[in-house]
Amino acid sequence: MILSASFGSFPRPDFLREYQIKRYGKQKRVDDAMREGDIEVLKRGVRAVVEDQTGLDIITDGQLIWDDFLASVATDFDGVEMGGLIRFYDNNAYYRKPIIRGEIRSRGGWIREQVKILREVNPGMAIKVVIPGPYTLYDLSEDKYYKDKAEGIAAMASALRDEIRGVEADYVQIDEPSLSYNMDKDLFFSVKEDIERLVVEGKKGGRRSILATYFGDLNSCIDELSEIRADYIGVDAVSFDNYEVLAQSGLKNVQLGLVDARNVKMEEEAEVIKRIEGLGSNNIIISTNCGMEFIPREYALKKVDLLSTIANRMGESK
Amino acid sequence: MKRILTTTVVGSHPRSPKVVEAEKRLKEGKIGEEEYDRVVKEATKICIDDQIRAGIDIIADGEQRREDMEVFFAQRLGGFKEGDWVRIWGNNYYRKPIVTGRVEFRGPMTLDDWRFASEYAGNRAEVKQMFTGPYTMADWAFYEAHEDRWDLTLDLAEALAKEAKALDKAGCPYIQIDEPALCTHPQKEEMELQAKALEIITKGLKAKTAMHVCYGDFSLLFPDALDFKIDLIDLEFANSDFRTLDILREYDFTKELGFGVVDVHKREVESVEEIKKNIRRALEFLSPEQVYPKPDCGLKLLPSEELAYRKLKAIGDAVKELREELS
Repeated sequence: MILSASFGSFPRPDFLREYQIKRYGKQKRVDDAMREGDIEVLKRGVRAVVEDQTGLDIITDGQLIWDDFLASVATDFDGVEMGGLIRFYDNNAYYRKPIIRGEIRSRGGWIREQVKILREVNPGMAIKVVIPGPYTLYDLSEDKYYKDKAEGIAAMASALRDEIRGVEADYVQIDEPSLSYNMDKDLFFSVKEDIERLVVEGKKGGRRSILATYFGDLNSCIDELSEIRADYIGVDAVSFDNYEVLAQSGLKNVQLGLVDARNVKMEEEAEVIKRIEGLGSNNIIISTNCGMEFIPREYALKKVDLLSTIANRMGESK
Repeated sequence: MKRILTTTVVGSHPRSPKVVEAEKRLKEGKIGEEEYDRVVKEATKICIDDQIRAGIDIIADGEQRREDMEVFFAQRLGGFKEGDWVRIWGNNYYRKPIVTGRVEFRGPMTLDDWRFASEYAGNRAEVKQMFTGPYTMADWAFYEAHEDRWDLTLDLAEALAKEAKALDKAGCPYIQIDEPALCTHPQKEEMELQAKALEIITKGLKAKTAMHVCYGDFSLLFPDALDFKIDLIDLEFANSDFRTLDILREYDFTKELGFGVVDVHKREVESVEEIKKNIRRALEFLSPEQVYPKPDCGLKLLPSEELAYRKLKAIGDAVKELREELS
């Protein structure tokens, strides 16, 4: 079956953007707890992005309360504090670098809270929850505590398992851009089991797991990714010649990012369909190559439409 | 005698709250261009006086007019249209521009501000001018009409070469091309693109030329950047714990080096001793004529003009002491 999905993040509605600027200034402080009024506005925001995703088979909450990609869970971990700003891969986007100062432990509330809101706002549709993966989270952090990288990644993976345990989502997506952007193969193999255990946790309770990579060159990691037993491997098929690499690899169960969420240029529907068919698989989720908050809302809506039209068209022809 | 350890800045100063307010009122139509210009110039004077008091040799106008280093130029070049909000970090957004046609130079964008700063500084300091480079302008915009990012970058280089030429003709002694996006794409071919772009921009200029790069993987820059058609390479060091020194040490570094000795993402002011120690590390393999101590990056994100001044003053004081010790 060909399903369409929102990748993860979504452009914030105007009212929410303005509210957050007014309420928090340039950056929300870690110790600034959510107040009742904040939750109300957030729910309105989630309602708006759910509506924006109409037509897709699988939706998200748009990551509206994520300060940044890492802070999302890192601020829910004991043993981790937030440092200075660092560039997010090759984007004009920045995150605060998590600094590991002690044993990492999940307080376990963050993801759960988000899913609760999304469920409440949208009781019917299939929902996806997204977390940064342990390899990436560790790769983008500074470790002043663990004796080596493998130990640090294992600790991250264990804390992330606690974050998603029992969360009532239909899909659990583990974002691992660093695996494709700068994979250290020795390190990967020494922590592969930790990543696998997180993937397995993601599958529990009838959920499906997606291990998503993006921004990187698939040539550098396709064999390793193929070994991970997630329900789907997420592939950025826009960057480099990743589509060709994927087509040759024989990997079939993919979340296929054939629509570019980093540029506003619109893809040709027929071309995208041709590429999907070219993989010869019936187990594909089509999506953008990464989260959609890199493009303005107007274009995110157009790309949502494109994805949903394509999935419908391919469904009809079956 | 040639000046040693020439102090400079990267360019921006925290935007004066008065300018931010005036800009808001301008957009709302409550004040005119003339009044806005007056407020910008008053703020520019303060930036200039602060830099000079701190002991900076080559100063800048503080970029008070630039709300965003991408948008400012996109608004002034042909081929761009205004985009909608895209988040950069926390609750900070910019209207990411969209390039919808070939890029067109419509007239100098930074020349008037340089002239004003230069006249106001008089013989107290030299004034440089900075503009966002073609690589970054292309990387931080959306594009619909160009074949790919390479095509757009080179098209932008042709347009920005005219900006450089205008500054050069007016007598601007230092022209700096800001390329914060340069070291973010890990492919080696990117440096070939930048080499071409810089060649287009700096060709035939009398001014000394510099390229500023920050927060990326600097190992990608070398050795290619040693052959770039520019005189000075300006990098961030303090934020990455001076690890970049180990990269530079491996090469015969023949260009001049803008050496970031204070971290603009940190609120604590670096001590004079610490700055001196770090400059000495650069002097282990570079001459004092080659090294230009300065902040890592523009000071725009610092929370106050006062903190910006104290960071600059620490550099000025450190260099003053070092100059005495070295002579």
